Amino acid sequence: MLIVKFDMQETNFVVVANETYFLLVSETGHRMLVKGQCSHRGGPLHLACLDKAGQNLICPWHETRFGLKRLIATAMPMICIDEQATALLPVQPEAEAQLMRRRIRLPPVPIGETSGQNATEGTRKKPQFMPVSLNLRGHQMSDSYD
Amino acid sequence: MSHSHQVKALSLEPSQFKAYLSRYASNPAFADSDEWLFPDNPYRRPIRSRVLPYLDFSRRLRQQELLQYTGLAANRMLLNIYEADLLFLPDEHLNHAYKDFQHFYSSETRVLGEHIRPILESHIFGFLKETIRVSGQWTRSALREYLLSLTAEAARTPSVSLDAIRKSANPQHAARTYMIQFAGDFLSEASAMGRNVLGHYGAAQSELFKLLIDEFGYGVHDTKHSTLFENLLASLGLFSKPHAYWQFYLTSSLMMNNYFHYICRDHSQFFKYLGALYYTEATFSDVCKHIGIMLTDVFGPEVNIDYFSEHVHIDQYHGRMALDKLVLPIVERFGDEMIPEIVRGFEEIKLLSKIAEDDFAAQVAWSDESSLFKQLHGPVKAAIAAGRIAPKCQRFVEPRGELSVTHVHDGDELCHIVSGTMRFVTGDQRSVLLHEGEGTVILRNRLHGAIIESAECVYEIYSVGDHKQCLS
Repeated sequence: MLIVKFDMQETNFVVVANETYFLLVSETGHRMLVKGQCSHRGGPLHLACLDKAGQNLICPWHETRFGLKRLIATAMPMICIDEQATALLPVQPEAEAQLMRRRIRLPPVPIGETSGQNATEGTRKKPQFMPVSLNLRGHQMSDSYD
Repeated sequence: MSHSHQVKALSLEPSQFKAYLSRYASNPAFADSDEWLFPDNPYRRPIRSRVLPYLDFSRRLRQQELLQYTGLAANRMLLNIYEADLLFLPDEHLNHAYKDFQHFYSSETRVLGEHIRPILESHIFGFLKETIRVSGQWTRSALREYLLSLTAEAARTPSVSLDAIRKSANPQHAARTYMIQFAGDFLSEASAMGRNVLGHYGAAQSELFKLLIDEFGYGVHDTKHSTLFENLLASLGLFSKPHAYWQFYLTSSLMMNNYFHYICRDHSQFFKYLGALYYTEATFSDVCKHIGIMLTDVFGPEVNIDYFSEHVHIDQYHGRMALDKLVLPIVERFGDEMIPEIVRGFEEIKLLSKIAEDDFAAQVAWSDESSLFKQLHGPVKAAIAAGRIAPKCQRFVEPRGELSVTHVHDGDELCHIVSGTMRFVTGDQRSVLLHEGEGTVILRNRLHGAIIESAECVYEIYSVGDHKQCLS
């Protein structure tokens, strides 16, 4: 496996060992590194568009429909800390990765309940009891703690 | 029953939270003190109670805000809340501390703490969820490769803290300050881990128990890791009992300690804990090696570094045990779906460690340059007098012996002595004396306190924001 680190402001496309990967962005801003080639004839999925149901990518080469759920289910393992990404790619560790910034035509995609996959943080349903909805903003901040 | 109680606590109205916070903070054990140190009273933990009702803990701090005043205040309270679950007893007699003992462990304190705890946790640790994102389809082999690779990388990364100590104008003071930061955790070492050894969860439970009994020296008190750390502190001339240096814990040091209680107390975060545990066990061996070398270089061969020598040895095993006997078998048992949470724990403690390293280095630099910041009083005060800036000013009149419990400010401040004498404290055994007409620039987020050394002292605090703007 190859561990690749990149700044997501500068890189949204990775080429390594004749495979391409691109950053897929969800409607909630969650980013995943997914395979960039259509399984039909290897068309560029980063230039695909989304069908009306929001469930399939339409490959620009032959208009083959490529399931969003399937694309997400095969996303590369990745950790993002702010804009810094670390991804694991299934190639030899000595392979050389080319990091690029390219135009991604796909709009932010819906994931989560509609995608049905559940192995990615942010798409897993969890009970939320965190007290974030509490509104204490009415209280004045003190600056007298000298 | 406990579930419904918890949900009720989490649905506190703001006014209720404030009321509970005020009552919690009014505990005499947490009151301001006229002493800097508490050599044998583990319950005395000032939290600057009078300020708390005016603070806003309702929103999650962003990463760059963690070291602000509410971060320090929330971390101090959280550690008190978490450690009410642990037993601390003084070394000698309890009589001098018996009232504090009763107050610290009282039912009222515990119930009030439980009410305010979730909001404080969200305030401090809420940023982690937004900052760290784990995605993709993880497999057991990818996890193993990732953890081993990142652990090796961490071992190669120079320590910012050790670098700060070696470059300090007073390496011995900096090294003692470093050990003080560890003392909050190491003197009750593995207590957070202990929260996860009870229950019933199969072979992994026994593996974790092995780690725990190693930390506890297999019941032989002289080999208990906390005993080794006490010996180290004593050899450095420091008090060796828990929280003697309560006032000198940096915000990030408290946060590191709290993090493990936070994820261990809430068992739904057990998988995250496994990742964090692996990170600490796997990297600590190398860290300990370098700390041991540093201590010997700085203090000479007389310093007792058994604590660190022991960890160089034992944590090589613990790292492997955590991975091969705990993390990977758990993934095998529960499936790859658990991996993102394990990775998250690894990354969270890694990020918090970096924040702590940077905080410590900044504190050492600030403390080292006390005389420089005293000199900067002149030009900054002149800028105010000339009207170049118009900061908010507060004036205080305090009697001899008035001790200002250590704290931080969210922006740079100027302390100006109108009359009298103040000892301005930037660390244990480290201070600068300020007389009438003198003062100092206080950098944002830097821990400091003060004590009045004249019959009366009148001083002013100017909130200048960024003191460098006054110098241009």
